[in-house]
Amino acid sequence: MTTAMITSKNVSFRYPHEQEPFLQNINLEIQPGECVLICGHSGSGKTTFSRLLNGLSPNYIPGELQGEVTTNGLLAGQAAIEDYVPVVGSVFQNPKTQYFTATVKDELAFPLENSGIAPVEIVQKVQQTAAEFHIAHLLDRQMFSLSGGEQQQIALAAATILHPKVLVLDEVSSNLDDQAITRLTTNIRSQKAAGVTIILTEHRLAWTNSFVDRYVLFQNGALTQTWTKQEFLSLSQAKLHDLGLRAVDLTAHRQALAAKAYQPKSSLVDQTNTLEAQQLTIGYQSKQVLTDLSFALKPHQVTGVVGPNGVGKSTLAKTLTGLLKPIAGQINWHGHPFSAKELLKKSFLVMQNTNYQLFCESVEEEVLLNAKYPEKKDELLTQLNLAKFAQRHPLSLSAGQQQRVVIAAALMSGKELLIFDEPTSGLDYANLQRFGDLLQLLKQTETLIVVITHDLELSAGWCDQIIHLGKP
Amino acid sequence: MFSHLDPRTILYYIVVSQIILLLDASVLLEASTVLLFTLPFWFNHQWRLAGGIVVLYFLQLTASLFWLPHVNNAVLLYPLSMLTTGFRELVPGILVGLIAFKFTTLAAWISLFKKWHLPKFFTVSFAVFFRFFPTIRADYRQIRDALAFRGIERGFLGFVKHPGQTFELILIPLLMNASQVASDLTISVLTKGLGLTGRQTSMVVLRLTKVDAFDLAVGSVPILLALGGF
Repeated sequence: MTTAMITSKNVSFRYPHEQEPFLQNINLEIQPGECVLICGHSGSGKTTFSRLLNGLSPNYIPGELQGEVTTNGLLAGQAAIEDYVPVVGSVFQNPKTQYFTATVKDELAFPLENSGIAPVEIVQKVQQTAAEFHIAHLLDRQMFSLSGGEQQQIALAAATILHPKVLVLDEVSSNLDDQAITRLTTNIRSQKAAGVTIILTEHRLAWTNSFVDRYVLFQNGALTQTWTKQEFLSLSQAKLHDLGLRAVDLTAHRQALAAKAYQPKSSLVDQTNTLEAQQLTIGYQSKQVLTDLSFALKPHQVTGVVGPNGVGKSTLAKTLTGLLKPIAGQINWHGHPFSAKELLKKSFLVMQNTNYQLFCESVEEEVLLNAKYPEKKDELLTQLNLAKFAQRHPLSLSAGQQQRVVIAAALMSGKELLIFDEPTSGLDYANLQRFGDLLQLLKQTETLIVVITHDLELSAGWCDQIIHLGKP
Repeated sequence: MFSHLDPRTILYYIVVSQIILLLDASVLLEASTVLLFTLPFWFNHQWRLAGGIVVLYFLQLTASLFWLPHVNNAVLLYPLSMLTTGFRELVPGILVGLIAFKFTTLAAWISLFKKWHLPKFFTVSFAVFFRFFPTIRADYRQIRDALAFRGIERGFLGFVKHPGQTFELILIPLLMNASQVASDLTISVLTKGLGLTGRQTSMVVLRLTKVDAFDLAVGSVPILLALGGF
């Protein structure tokens, strides 16, 4: 019988100022070399538990811990964060707040320098890791110039450079496209082959099928079910959805997506079109991002914009909303050429992080800020199921509710084009379904709806046409 | 690509700027310091930034010398003196701050702190602080874009037209995100072992180059001028 790499015995964890424990009586053993995926609703305790495994809680993120969690013999609450550094590598959801140095080479060297490795050895290890992760061509690149997928790949390489026995990966795929996920899969598989124990918390499940050994379900802070790989992969889609989990097989989604590909008409001139983009070249003064882009948008349909990281989805959103002027080509609104300034008045971008878009002290004030139709306030708040939160501070609401407040504000200001930027990134199935329902509701209005997404389940399930950027 | 300075050169600039501030230097000395401290920007083709700072500084200087003495309204006098004199005296320090962010790397600073065996709490805080501003700057741009969708103009013109509203509306989301960014960065730096005790190493070899020698000489000019009685 081998000694478990991770043991959790009767673990409960309560955050400061909370009455009830957030984690309740978690019992789990993970063997060396095993790969375990923790799934469950948002807020079910997955991330909180993972922080007990890499020493962040209760040391840096405080709380009251009961029971015992050990990682390779390090007891949470007694061992210092620094004790975990050589043992556990951690990668988090947001690649933008995970790097510290200017270049990729420096970033890989950073944990080695902090561990006191000699510079000559550091150079060797950096080269070796770069070769293993197929990132040698990126070594001299500036970290900020990399795409989110590449930054996440560097974060994983940096987390493994000290050869930790355990990897804790907290929703690492949330912001990644298909290509980046494929690279990540290869890297994780090679870590597993090297005997590293891997713990993932994830909402997107399909990409993990090839390397996960065991699945664990968290519900309301409790561990309620475990499955072997075979058991889990044989669960029906309906059963997964009942549990609030996303699909494990996306074959049907990919087929649906292909069938919805945008079909350019021989002429864009169509009386039912509201917006027509004609031979657009978009980008910045110094760099063209996309050329010869033509498509049309009309009400009562949801248009998905998909494509790899860095292909120009955000640049297109900025151009359609008037934040950027097209380099060439034009955008017509009901057949008339529209300037960037006119587009800005008509359109609204619902950002991935809605925190950037909430400015006022109550939901009511928020939707009334520069509102064009203040008389519609009550009707709209009721329609979007926000009436009971009218006096609440917007930032005290859940992410989904905040998203609805932003949409209400957009509709109150008379916006006719709504663009959503990665609206379901990091969402569980229940919240994905809720967002889909919201799209259905918006489809009944005259508003044009565009969704920029990597999320196959969203684009295949709720979009009516797909503009695939980056395809020849 | 910028020519990087050794962090020790920048520390020297910090000391010089503080001496000039503490000496309550003459206008001539202060203006010379500002012009000299913009040299690294000119040499690195940062024309707009350097030019903008120089223009702003001389506008403040002109206002404080020729306009302020004629303002008799006490209510106006205090904020105007703050803008034209108080903020103006901070310009050398602000320039040094910009030099510190633009012309050296975080890796070089950390290497220096390790070499000098500074306490870990200082090194960790500094690392987070240094990485914090570029992230917050990106957040600020997103918030300005978000305001544009609500009919509040982006850019300098928008700020001039509605200073109170713009400031208030930007501040709330900026602070909300700032606390999250600081927390994420701290978690990241701790899991990468910057807080480890014991001997640490660095791939960055700190070496004073010809560029540093030139900049040290430039940085010494204000002190020599002060000693010369300017």
